[in-house]
Amino acid sequence: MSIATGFIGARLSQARRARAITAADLGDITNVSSQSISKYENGHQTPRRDVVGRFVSVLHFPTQFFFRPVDETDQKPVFFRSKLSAQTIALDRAKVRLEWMKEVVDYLNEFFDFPELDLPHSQLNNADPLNLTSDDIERLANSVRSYWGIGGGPMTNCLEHIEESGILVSRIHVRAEKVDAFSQWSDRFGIPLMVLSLDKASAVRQRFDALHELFHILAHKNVTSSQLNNRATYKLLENQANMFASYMLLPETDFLDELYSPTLDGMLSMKERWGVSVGAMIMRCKSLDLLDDASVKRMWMNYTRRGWRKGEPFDGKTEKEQPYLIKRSFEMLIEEGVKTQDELTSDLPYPLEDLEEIAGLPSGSLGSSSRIRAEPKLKSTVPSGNNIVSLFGGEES
Amino acid sequence: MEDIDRLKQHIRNHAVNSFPKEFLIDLQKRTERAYQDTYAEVAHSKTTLPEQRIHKLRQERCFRMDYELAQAAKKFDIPYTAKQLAENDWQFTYVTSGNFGATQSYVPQMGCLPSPAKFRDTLARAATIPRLPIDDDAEIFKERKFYGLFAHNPIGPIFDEEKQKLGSIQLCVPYEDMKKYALEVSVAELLADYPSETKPSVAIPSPTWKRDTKRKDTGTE
Repeated sequence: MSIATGFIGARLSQARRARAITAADLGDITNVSSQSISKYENGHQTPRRDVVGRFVSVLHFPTQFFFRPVDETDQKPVFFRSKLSAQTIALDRAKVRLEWMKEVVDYLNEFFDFPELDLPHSQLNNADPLNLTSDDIERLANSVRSYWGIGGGPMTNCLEHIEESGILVSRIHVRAEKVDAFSQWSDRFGIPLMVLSLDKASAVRQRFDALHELFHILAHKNVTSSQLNNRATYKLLENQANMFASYMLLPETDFLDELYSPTLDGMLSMKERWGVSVGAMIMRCKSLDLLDDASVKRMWMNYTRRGWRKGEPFDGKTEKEQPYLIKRSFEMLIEEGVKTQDELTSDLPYPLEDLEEIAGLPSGSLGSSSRIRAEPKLKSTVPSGNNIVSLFGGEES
Repeated sequence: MEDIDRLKQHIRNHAVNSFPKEFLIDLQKRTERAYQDTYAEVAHSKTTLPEQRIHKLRQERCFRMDYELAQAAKKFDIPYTAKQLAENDWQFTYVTSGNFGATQSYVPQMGCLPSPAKFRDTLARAATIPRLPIDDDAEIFKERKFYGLFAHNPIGPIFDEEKQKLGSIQLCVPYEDMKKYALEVSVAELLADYPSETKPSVAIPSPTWKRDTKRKDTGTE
């Protein structure tokens, strides 16, 4: 059997990590030693064509995927929301999709000009992120709001503003309870990319996540991987990002003007209009010293008693904000006849479900098939014919 | 889902179909204002002993809330009455909307039934078939599937401006014997059960095509 010339080991690594399986498990399933898997991935050895075929069928990737060259990986750290409690395998799975998103953006760049990067210039760009105060963060939130032309009151569509600032956004099923969103400054493209989790049900939570990531993009551009790997530093940076999202969504004066009283019902009454969760409002009230520690504790107890930990009222009702640019680019390529669906899937040989997700297209629009549920099969030993009673009462023809 | 949860959901669905959303929003706003206004009135009263202000406040609030419930009903053409009730000669606002008949009552804190017990007994009896004077809207006399009350309470028990703001207003539906609630749901929470209004979509500019060199103007036809 011939050697699969042109096989890209890094693609095998991506495919395996995208499916969240270890090299040892892949070896077991494909009947290849884990050492060989490792050598394939590192490019020290090239598999035979039949082995590649096994990878294709086990991992459910198009064959071309394993032969597509890989660009250099960005060195800037990826900011994961809730990284501390998330499993490495889940983060790895997410990182692979971020790389694919970059490749998709690179491809679309051949056809489209996306909005230029237009972020408010802030003194925080050069400040040491470890020394930022809450006043610094609040000032930045206010300046972003005014840069975006948002007056007082509730934030309008967050993703629209973020995309107009030149940040490309995608939403995927992260399939990890602990990962809400992640972002990275791409050295290659010179722009930041943001990925939000589709797994979260709440539209208001997604708004908060997006603004949280925006802060990493604005103020943590120069944070190094080693800083991020330090637990204390990571927590500090995450808290800063949460503060920023809170200040953006609930500016002090406007929020206080409209909040009748810091009660669960008082906050719930504002939720739909402000697009902010009651949980985030409780935290904001605490930061504004409207509630002391004991009151906050009592409030969280009542929050739990009302069953809101599983989901707050209005959560399923508010429509989630949708990223637009990448989706619209795909639609335009097809509508204008520049590319056919087959050409797109051939140019971007990722699993169709993943490509549709990154593109923000409805499932099946690029040809992915919905899973067919298993059907019970009648045993051949069971006699068929007159002794079968029709479930629907109709007479057999 | 357990039976009690099914029952609660059943009543909530009926409440959503019975009360206009705007009526509940208006009632909530009116209650907030009523709590603030009555506090201000009592706090500035020169003829009330400081020790008795809290009691006066509760009493004032009771009358004001009956008024507000009646005004909210009137605003949305919901039949209401405040005529004398035969059971105890008491007059309170009673509104009927869809499958519901409802009154209002202050409760010390959420989960509590209105007191005294005699009042509840009266409510329970009245709930079965309201016996009200015949010069009222005929709708008032119709038997309803559920009888509930808008139970409201302040944030805290102390006579203080912040503590005497509205803590919560809930729609409570007691069992027939009035000894326990089958449903307690805050009006704010109930409002989330109403179908959401669709907002017009925002027109976002599309990405722009890269300039195609092949399509450059040649300067000729």
